[in-house]
Amino acid sequence: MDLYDEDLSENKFFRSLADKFPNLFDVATCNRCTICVPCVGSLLGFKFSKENIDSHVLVPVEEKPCCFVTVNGKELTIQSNVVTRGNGFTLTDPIPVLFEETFFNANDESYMVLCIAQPLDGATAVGDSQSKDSVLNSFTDYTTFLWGETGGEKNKKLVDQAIGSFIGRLHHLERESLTKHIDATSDLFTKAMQIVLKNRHLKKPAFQDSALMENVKIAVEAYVLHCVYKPLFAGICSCLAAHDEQLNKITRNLHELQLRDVGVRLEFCRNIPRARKELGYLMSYSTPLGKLNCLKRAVRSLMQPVQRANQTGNPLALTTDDLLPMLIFLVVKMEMPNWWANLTYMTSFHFAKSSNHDEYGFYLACLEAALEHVGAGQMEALMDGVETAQACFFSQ
Amino acid sequence: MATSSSGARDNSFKIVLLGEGAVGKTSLVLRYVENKFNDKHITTLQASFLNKKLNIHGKRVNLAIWDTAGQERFHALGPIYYRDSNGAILVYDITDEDSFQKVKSWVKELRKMLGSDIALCIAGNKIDLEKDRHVPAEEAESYAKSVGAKHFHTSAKLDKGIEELFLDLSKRMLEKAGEVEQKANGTNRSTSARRNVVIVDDEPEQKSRGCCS
Repeated sequence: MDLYDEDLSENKFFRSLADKFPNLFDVATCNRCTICVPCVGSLLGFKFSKENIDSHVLVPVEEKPCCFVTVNGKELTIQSNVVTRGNGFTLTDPIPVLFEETFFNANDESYMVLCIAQPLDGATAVGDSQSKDSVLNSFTDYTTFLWGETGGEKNKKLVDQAIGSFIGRLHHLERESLTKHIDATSDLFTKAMQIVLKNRHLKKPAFQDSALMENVKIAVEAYVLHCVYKPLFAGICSCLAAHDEQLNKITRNLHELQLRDVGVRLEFCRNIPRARKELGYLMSYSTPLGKLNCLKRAVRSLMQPVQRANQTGNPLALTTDDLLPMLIFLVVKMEMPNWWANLTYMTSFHFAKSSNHDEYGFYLACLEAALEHVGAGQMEALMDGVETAQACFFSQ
Repeated sequence: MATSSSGARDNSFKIVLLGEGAVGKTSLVLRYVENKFNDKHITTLQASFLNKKLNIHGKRVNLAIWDTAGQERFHALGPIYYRDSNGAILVYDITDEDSFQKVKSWVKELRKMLGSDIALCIAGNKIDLEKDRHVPAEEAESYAKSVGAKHFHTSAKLDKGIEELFLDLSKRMLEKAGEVEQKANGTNRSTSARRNVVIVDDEPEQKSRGCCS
């Protein structure tokens, strides 16, 4: 799900270039060359010779965008995040660029470092860049991941017991504040993490590998919150009932709202139906991350490339001022009875925050801004304005 | 879901972008994150949320750049976007005096709501239109100084001053993050706005995201 990431200053290739070939490194960085660094998992069997390293230091070819020549004279192109090797290389299969990072030389001038999936030259064995990473997607994945190992059954029983007693205590929280709900659920999550990490097979590797630890957290959160979802979400809904009722009252009066009333740019209208469909699945997800990914897909579909109305040649930029009106329109039209409860569930009950939380944070802020705008009666005022304008028009 | 580690040297910073509609803040940020190796013929450039990875002399910095709603009708929604941000870039158009006044009111609002925790940069954009300048450079610079912000002269069109602006802002955010960390060593970070989950264990290697990360 996330994009690949690693700390390049710890990468053996990068270290070797900087420490063992300081002259080449100085020349490369002073001249602001682009440096390709094979990802850590692909370096098994790589020969750290001058010749092989030279093949990874690139100088752009003037007047030819995307074309480069290495410092030992080999040619390649980089387009759509894929490196294609040309003259001088023995192998020619395309190599994906995993990510780019901007570095700075002693004069604070930038140079680009590209992390690529495998070496351009000098690999003896084909290493697999991402094989060790496990991607968890379904509930079955989570349960296998958590309880599959030896001792898993016992731990599952303990976690299930904790979940059982949490559900038993939930009705005591009725009429209690949202904070109490959050604290109780957070306690349950922490307790479940402690039980799961007692497992010898998981404990040591998880404390050494932060990616694995992130996966453990995500899996535990998914398991626990899926199990308690129904009663817990009902509790959250009653905490936010006043907010949601007020919003619903307003949206009911806005059923005649049109895209143009909200000021949606014409070019983006085509993306609305798909986003609406995506967002329609929100209630079918039981975990905060499930809902977050649903929201992400919806917002992403609003950002899809569109056909340009005018052929100016410049691509159209989608700003927050463009995004907000579309979300406002969706909030009004979706007939979702508990927007605020859903938003709160995603913001305050997602304990296993991952490294890309900032991106989710942005989507959440946009949804919150849309709810706030509609709830504050801004749209009603606008519709009144429209009616008044129409009334004026007809009375003339 | 997570595919790789984020090391101890990683810093994630949130930067908000503020400015009136026509000052060119979108071109400025798109110029900065421009992916030189991507298809040129795509028709929409997503400019509301952008990421950029930097490595400043061994310190990894992950910038999350948030565009904010600039239209007046959305003014009340500002805090939803700028809360918890580590830095702000306030953009005005050097040919438009009103856009500079708008920057001043944003600065006031940010300082009032976020105090000195936030690092500010003011960008006088469109220096390619120097002959139509309506905001005197000295005035803008001394104003920036008076509010503890750094001023940069930029042009998205000519790609001038933009990289310097982001690098300077990133360095100042790193400094602030360092200060916070020093203060936090010994005292409890009770003022933290973000919720952290701490898993108690007998092996104290567990590291959760800090409040200022």
